[in-house]
Amino acid sequence: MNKFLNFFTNTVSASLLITFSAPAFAEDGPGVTKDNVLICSYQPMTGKVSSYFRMGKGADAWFQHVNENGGINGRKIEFKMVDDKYEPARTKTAVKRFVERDDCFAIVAPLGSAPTSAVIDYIVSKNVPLIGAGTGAEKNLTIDSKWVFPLYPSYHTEGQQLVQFTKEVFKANKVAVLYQNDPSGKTHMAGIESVLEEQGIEIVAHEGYEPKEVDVSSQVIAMKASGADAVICSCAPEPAAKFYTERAKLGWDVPVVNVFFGKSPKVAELAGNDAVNGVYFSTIFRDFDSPAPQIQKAKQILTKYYPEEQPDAIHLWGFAGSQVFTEALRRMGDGPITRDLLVKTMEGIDDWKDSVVPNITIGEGTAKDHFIIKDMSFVRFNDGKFDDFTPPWMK
Amino acid sequence: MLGQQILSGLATGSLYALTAIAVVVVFRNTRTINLAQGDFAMVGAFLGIIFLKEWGMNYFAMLALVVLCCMALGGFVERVVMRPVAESDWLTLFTTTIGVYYILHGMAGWIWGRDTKAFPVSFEATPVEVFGALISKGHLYNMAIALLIGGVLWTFFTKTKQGIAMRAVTDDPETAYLMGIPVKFIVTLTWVMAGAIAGFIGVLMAPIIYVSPEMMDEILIKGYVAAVFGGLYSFRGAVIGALMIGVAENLAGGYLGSHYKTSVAFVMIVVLLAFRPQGLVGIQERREI
Repeated sequence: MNKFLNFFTNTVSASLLITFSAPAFAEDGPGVTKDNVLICSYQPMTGKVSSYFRMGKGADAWFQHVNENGGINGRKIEFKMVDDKYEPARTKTAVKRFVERDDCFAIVAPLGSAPTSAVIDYIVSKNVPLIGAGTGAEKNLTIDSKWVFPLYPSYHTEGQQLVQFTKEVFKANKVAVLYQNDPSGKTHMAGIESVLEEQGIEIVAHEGYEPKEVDVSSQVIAMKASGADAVICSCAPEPAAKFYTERAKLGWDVPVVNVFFGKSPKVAELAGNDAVNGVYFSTIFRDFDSPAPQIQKAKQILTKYYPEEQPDAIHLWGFAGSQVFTEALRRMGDGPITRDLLVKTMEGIDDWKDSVVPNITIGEGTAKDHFIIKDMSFVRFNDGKFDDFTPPWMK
Repeated sequence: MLGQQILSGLATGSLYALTAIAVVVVFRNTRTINLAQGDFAMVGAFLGIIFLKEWGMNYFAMLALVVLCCMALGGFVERVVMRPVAESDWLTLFTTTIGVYYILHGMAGWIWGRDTKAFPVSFEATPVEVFGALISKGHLYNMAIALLIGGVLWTFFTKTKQGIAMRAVTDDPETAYLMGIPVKFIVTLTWVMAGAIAGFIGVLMAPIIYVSPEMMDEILIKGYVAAVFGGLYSFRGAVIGALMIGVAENLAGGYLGSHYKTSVAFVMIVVLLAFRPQGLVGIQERREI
């Protein structure tokens, strides 16, 4: 009798356990329960490029806001961020755990070209959606997979536009380039080199730097000695600040356009306004000072959950990827939540204007058809502010 | 361009030199390779921000207080962490300093955040012309202070009773103890001195390399390489090694290509140790027990 009782109790307990821990629908995807959707992200929370962790904070602020307002169709978003220090070896370990141990439904708003390049093949091989990764490296944007939704235009495209910018705005013929010695910088270089002949521009110096490099003085000296009449700086905020300080030290008054991932108030905070005044930056977002209600709402949300943060463009990268993800989830309604369905729903987003990106239309197909943001624009730094600047070909 | 590359290399080398000097101070008196040396400076830099921004202190008062705090930190680490393992072999001592490194890294990140911060005193970037090449005033100050600290330490260790006592402890701690030299006090004093140098390093470097828990990682490695280059016992060797690495890096970056810049220090040390294992200024100044 006791044996029977034990068997009965165990069976009932096991059944209850299975019932309550099971997904809401038998066909729901990994990481989805009736109360939660688990999504994951790798971020440089510490390390030399930790200023980019703003992206993770932007995404996290949005998810906290969504959860506080009831979640999406009754489900809360569980957003798991892991620190990879922008070191691809750590990213590999983190992503393997996301997929094989944690059962993450999707990877949303992760950061970095080198980290993403190291894991993207694995992610798509496991059929995990990768949405809004902060990377412009060509490989990550053109991979032949339906699971990848790139955030912004490729660094290749940006490099081409920067050459056009130096030609039309600076009237330059000889250009020097400072670039980060990783996939992001190399993709910029490839884009730059692809249009030199067409634009009639000569590269007289191309200097790389390592993300951990203490100073960039030798590079700046070589660039100055090259006789360049304009500079393209494919630099992250901290190295960009070092470049502008060194340029000021040498009294080198050369016009500069900086890639968009260096557009941060951090640059002027570190180098001082005087060293950065007059520098042009490419950008993909409206500034946080923009009166657009979507931007003001993002600012309000960020300030609420991260009051110590000074809002800047990198926070918006996180908002963009996370907002388009929650929109897709919302459109999926109360039905099953699967990865395939997520991709189909994302591909159905057309002329959507409720996020920090002015207009999102996502096509059907593979990564190259899935861009969340398609257009770049420019700003000019002036005493602590980024003023809008429209180059001639955009007027 | 050659003159400019050399001068800028000397400026960068002076950053490595201060750290190399501190590495030598601790090693020659305690036979410990102190991996936490950079983090003493990092803590000093964060404290400098607080003293300037929140306490409204002037620059020199802040510098003095930072140096005092770093001295206290050095003394504390010796008394609480290093002394219990003082009799252990070099590997244990080395590993213990790795532990201190991670503890200070973690605590700094926890208390002050991981984000890179600007130091409130802006780096004096005004260019000064030296032999036709340009260098900023800030770098000139750093080079002068590196030379000054190196000179003061050299004088201390060669001309004063206390310095000579410290060298005796280095050579033969047991005999020094039997001769009445307070060995434990000397060891504590060594770590306090390392803290004092770190205080200067933190305040001087913060405007150039910015402030974050990882700010000193790269400089510590180069400073350590410079110290080994100079033979690990010699201040003169450490300073010469640091300046040579700074210049070699810049010349490699400027003429061979920027990709060679970061590896040149390690190529130099491998080549040097292959031909002269005792370092640049090594063997005559040390005596193995």
